[in-house]
Amino acid sequence: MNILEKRTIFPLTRLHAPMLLEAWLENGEIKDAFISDTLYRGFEQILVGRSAMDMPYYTQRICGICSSAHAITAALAVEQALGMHVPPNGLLVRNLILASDFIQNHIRHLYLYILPDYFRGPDIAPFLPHSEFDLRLSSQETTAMTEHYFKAIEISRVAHAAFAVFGGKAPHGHGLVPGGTTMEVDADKVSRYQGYIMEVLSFIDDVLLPDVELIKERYPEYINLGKGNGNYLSVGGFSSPEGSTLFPQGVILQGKQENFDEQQVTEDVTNAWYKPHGPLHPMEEDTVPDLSQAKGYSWVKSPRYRGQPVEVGPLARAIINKEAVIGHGAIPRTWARALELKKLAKTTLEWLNRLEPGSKTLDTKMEQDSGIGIGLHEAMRGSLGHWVSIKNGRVNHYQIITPSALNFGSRDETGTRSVGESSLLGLKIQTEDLMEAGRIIRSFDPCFSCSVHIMDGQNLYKLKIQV
Amino acid sequence: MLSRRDFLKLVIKGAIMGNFCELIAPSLAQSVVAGEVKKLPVVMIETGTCTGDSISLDNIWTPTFSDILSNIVDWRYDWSMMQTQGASAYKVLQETYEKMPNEYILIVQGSMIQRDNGHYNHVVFDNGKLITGLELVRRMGLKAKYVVAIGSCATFGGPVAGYPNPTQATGVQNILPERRVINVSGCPAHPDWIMGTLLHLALYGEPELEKFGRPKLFYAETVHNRCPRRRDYDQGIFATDIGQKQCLFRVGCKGPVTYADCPIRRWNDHLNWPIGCNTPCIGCTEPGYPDLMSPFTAHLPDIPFPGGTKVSTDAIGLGVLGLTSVALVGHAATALYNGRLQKNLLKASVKAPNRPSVKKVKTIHQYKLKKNMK
Repeated sequence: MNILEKRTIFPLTRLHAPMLLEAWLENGEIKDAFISDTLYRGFEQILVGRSAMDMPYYTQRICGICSSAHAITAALAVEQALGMHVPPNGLLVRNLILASDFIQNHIRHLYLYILPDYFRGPDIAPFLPHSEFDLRLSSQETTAMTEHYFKAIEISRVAHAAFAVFGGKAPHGHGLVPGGTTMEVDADKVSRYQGYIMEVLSFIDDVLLPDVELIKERYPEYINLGKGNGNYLSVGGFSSPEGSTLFPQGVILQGKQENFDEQQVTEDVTNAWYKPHGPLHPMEEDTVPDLSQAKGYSWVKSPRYRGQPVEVGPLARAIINKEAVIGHGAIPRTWARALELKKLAKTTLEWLNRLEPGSKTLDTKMEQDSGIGIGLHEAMRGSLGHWVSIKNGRVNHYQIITPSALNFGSRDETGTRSVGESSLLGLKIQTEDLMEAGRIIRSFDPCFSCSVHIMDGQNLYKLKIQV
Repeated sequence: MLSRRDFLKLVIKGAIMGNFCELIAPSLAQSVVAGEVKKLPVVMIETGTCTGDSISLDNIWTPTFSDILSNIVDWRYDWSMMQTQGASAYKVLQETYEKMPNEYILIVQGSMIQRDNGHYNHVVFDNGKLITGLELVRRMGLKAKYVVAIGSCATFGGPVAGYPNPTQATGVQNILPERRVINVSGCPAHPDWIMGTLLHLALYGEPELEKFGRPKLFYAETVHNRCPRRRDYDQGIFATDIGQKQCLFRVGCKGPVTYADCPIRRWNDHLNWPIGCNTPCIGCTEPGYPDLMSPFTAHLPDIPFPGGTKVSTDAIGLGVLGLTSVALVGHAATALYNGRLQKNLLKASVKAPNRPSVKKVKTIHQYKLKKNMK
């Protein structure tokens, strides 16, 4: 048994909310990695007892950057439970709200979170202190990239303004409710939304795609570094009134594509700080925090599909949709995200054309006041699921599985690593702060405010590592 | 440099024109160049948060966040933006703490999680030890020049502190009683509110605060008083469901008890806002948010508190809930007495003699009749 060197990186920056990386190195190579979320807020407990109609508003508060994804998933779950039907116009407006949030998220994630790994940046905060590690852009390209960085901040808020056209305000919009959307459709709104999207589209074509291309050229080894385990999942999303969806629904397990079956989703808490239970379906499990769990090292549970860890996100969606991808590592994830961004921005224009001004967008009629509902929708970072049971108009059970929990969950009872942890294995490390690992982790776009039940690291260090 | 009076004028003008920060920022940038004001050193600590306030701040329209980073603020520590990671990121925080005491501004985003001494929320790794959000905010807060809490979570606990409050979350002021905390509430806080407060701190020091520690610049009036649908309310024309164009009071609007300037400032390119989107205000800037404001889309007095009849533990909370209900009902009743609602709501033609005058009570958000008047 060799003695491994332990490195703890915390905070891992340019992510949403806290993430702790504990890597075990041998001769500069990562042999094992633990990714831990250090925040527990207990949303699932808070939601119980509240009015079902409030769920889209309350669950949005789980995450500030993908608020509308939680809103739409909660709305879908409540609609299924209470038997509500969204008018066709409402479906389209929903897509428009969510798409503008996707666009905002993808641009912000690429420029604010991913790219600062690859260029030096100006001598002002937040680029100070600089990370001098492995920078391959020429000084001219660096200057251009800096300009694009600041331009991207401005463009992403334009996308959020498009959100506000139908969503009221962003983040944490008001327009998306069970039964449809609340904003009336008229020419003014359509043209405003279109104006904002055109501005974003020209930025994507002229700036964003060439930048991604440049990074891909300069860092070819990252095309293969940080590969997942080959399992992919997408639950589908952006349905049109005819029933077809823009994002596919499907699973790839060990290279074989199959249909998605919601019953195969389970969550395990063996290595997380919760009262122990075996792998359970979200409808049956509960969330009871328990700091005394000796094996616990994270607040994220371990969600599995058919007992296996799966990768979710733009790359998974592209692969399941049988689109061309350039690989399966860190850069291909970014690449897939950029292409998805363009596809979405273009599709919003089609949706806008199909809107019927003046016709109904909201139908709040309910068939019953109790029931069980499952909301599944692709969020920015991958598959999101809300499981709700409603009694007399109030929530009596709520469980959420988020994309970051799927990508970065804790180990399950068999000790299997999540996709995020296994993608770091074998990575060669040169820097003290593990910037290489940071590049790979960021390519997943982790968002731990989203891993709702996300804890204390005291026990993290008691873990026995078998080598 | 601007005088304070000019600044206050610009706040109002900026809210109406939608370019508040553009009006104020050039003069600040000039002041920075002239050396009158230093570039503001700011550290941002995120605790139990959704990071929505960072995103909201990125959405600031004028000046752009790019301008702010380049010209106005020295945005020293913010883990959602910094280029470095791990120990070298923490070093920045530590250096600021040691070398710039009483100089930096501490921004806290997210609720203070108190359960098990805060071990439900760790934020940095210091010499082999994990530091809790609670500890770090207290350490940094005691040496900061100003402490600014942004968002509902940092100010009053917010959605994380919703019943049954599993993590015992609370606002920053409660764990930092030695200091005055400037509360910029909202879920998320409007970027103008955050930036306006920071600019006021840079130029003139602490702004005038109201009873909950929020700057009066932005939180002096209720949403209801400036609401474009106020006319509907006064005439008793109410929406019966969300998504309608009339006054949303009967479908749960908390505008009458919510202090914020959303109606004139509006959100994202000063384009739209919750009531403009035909949905009720959910009172996100108030200390009672979210429990006392739940259910968001139903009229408050009709539906009880989450937890139903078993709310033995939260008797105090219930008491305050009662007050919020009384405030809303009281407001409607006053309007009735005033004869404003009767035309449509009561279909009566008799005018009330000797209209009682209404005064605003300071301690709770409620309109109360003066006793000695008929």
